[in-house]
Amino acid sequence: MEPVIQGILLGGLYATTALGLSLVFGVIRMVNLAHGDVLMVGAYLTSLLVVALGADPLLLAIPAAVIVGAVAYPLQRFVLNPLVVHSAEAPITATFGISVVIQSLLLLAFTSNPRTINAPYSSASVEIAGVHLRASLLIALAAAVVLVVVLDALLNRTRFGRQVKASAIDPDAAGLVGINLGHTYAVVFAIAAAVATIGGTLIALSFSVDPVGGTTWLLRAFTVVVIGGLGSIRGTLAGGLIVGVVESVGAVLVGAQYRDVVVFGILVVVLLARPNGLFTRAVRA
Amino acid sequence: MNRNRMLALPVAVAIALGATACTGTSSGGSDDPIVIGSTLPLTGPLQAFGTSLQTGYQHAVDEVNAAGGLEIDGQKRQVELVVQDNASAGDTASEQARDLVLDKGAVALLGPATPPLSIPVSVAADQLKVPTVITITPIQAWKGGAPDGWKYSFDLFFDEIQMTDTQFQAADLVATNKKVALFTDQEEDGIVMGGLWADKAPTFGYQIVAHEQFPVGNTNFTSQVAEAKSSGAQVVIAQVIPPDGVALLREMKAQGYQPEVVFLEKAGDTGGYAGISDGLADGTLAANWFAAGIGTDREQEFIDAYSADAGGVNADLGTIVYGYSAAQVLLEAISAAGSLDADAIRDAIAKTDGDYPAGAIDFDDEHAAPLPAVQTQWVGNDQVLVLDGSGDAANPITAPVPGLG
Repeated sequence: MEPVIQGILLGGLYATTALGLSLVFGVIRMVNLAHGDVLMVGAYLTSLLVVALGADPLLLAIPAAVIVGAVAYPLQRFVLNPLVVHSAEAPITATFGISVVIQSLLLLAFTSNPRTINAPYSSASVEIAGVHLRASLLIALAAAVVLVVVLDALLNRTRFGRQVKASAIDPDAAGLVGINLGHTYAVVFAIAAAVATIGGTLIALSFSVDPVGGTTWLLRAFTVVVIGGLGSIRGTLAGGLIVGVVESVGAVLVGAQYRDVVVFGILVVVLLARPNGLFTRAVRA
Repeated sequence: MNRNRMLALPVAVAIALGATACTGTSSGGSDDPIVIGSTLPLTGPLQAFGTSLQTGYQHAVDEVNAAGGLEIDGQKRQVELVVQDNASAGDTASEQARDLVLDKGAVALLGPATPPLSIPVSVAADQLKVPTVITITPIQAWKGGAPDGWKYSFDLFFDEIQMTDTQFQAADLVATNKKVALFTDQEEDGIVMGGLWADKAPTFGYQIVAHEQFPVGNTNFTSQVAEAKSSGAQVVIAQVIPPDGVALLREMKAQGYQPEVVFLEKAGDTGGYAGISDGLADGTLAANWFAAGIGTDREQEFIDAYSADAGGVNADLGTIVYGYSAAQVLLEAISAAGSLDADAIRDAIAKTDGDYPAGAIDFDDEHAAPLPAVQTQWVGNDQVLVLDGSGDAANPITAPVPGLG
């Protein structure tokens, strides 16, 4: 039972780091290859704020998220939006380029050494029935649930959410009824970047980050999003939990050295059986 | 094809070859500086090695130039170090090694660190017949890159077989139950080291009670740490990259697992490692190639000059020292050859036999100069010598690992 519990905790972190990717794909239909690097940028920015202000990292992740979101908005609006309408491939290529630029800038600014964000709870654990539960992963799981609830409410219960959903379902019709697609896409991209900043902060609190570490997290996020359902917010939470549990239980049953074989093997099976993911129809937000 | 076009091709080839010949001999003019090339990982994951090596190489070149340069064919000439950034990529290092020789006129090369970069450069050096001195590249792995032996490349660093003795020798300095948990990733060195430690443990009277293997980039050490803890291992030997090392230590701390000694190889040899993980790495050990008290030539001079830049007396400082020594070996060989003839320089490198800041360097028939690995313990920002190159105790080891308490 312990590996399942540990997997659920890890899955919460995976879901948090994948939410932004899912949101962008679901609304803009854009595969953001720079998503992992945005996670890293968020972590580095929060760590800088921690050094400068000395407050709690979780608290400082909020202004960091606002800053990253503010940078992401014009990036989407003026750089990526023109490419989105041009072709499906162009924005993928552009986000790959953005990924390379971000990694290079982070290397120049922070060197290749890994960096952590430290707090009293980053290496602490809570023991329940003899099981050590890492405090930072408990926080990540809670953050995942809160973010899913908030994003779900935003998309389903607000006027802006209805505009976003209309833009996702039929961009042409949405434009005809007066929805500003460029602005809507940019806001969604900014929200995704802000959520990624919180995810990156949680990574640095639980493990560590480095300038090129985003690629590893991007692969995990893709797996979570595909398993959970492309573009499904609630499915992303479910996908994260599944990947976490499969990874944790798989490590015990067949050995941690086969972690990637197990996780990506599950991904292939899901793609073959349900190309749109496990939860797309049931819980799509 | 008309006659003019038929003539054009050989003429173009001749011009191109002529141009190559001209650019390829920039060190050949009697007034030109002698060009030494180096492709280094100045960016990317191996950046720390690259920047430290560049500092060491440049230090040696500056010393030679300050003394008037090298005497070649009876005339003193300055030396120019030309560095290119390979971004920690082996294929780029290989291309740049060729560019440095063919286009920049380098008469010799200095290596880039680690087998994935050093072996491609050594291959290029052998193809181009250019003398090359490599360092920060474990010798057995480097030798494995050329089963028939290297012809123009030389390597000075520690030998993995001797290095994998030092963990057990250092663990002997602390009272433990001699039960060992191994954590090795699936990079080539992780597999090789894991096998060596497993083979050697019984020889030193140790028992491997857990051997955890995992892919590089692992974040979830929950089950592995739980297994190691329940096995009762008081000695942990890990071969992991720095991010995985942080994840491992955080999981050990979270599970309240505080072994007597923890060897964090590879991860622990990142200059600022102690500062990365909120003090968790404090008291962990790592094999090293330099430390205060090691007793090598000009030890204190280098500590005084570079410990501030390196952030302490640590592996980064050691890399500067080894870079300096490698460059010194090459420059002395060029001087001894008295010419820029590649074979003469290579033969002079092979005859190297002396004391350098890295230690006593004497190349064997396979062009390797094994220098003894030592063991060091992280104390603040320094890596303190606890086991010297002879396998004898130096400073006492603080146990159990303070950072995990």
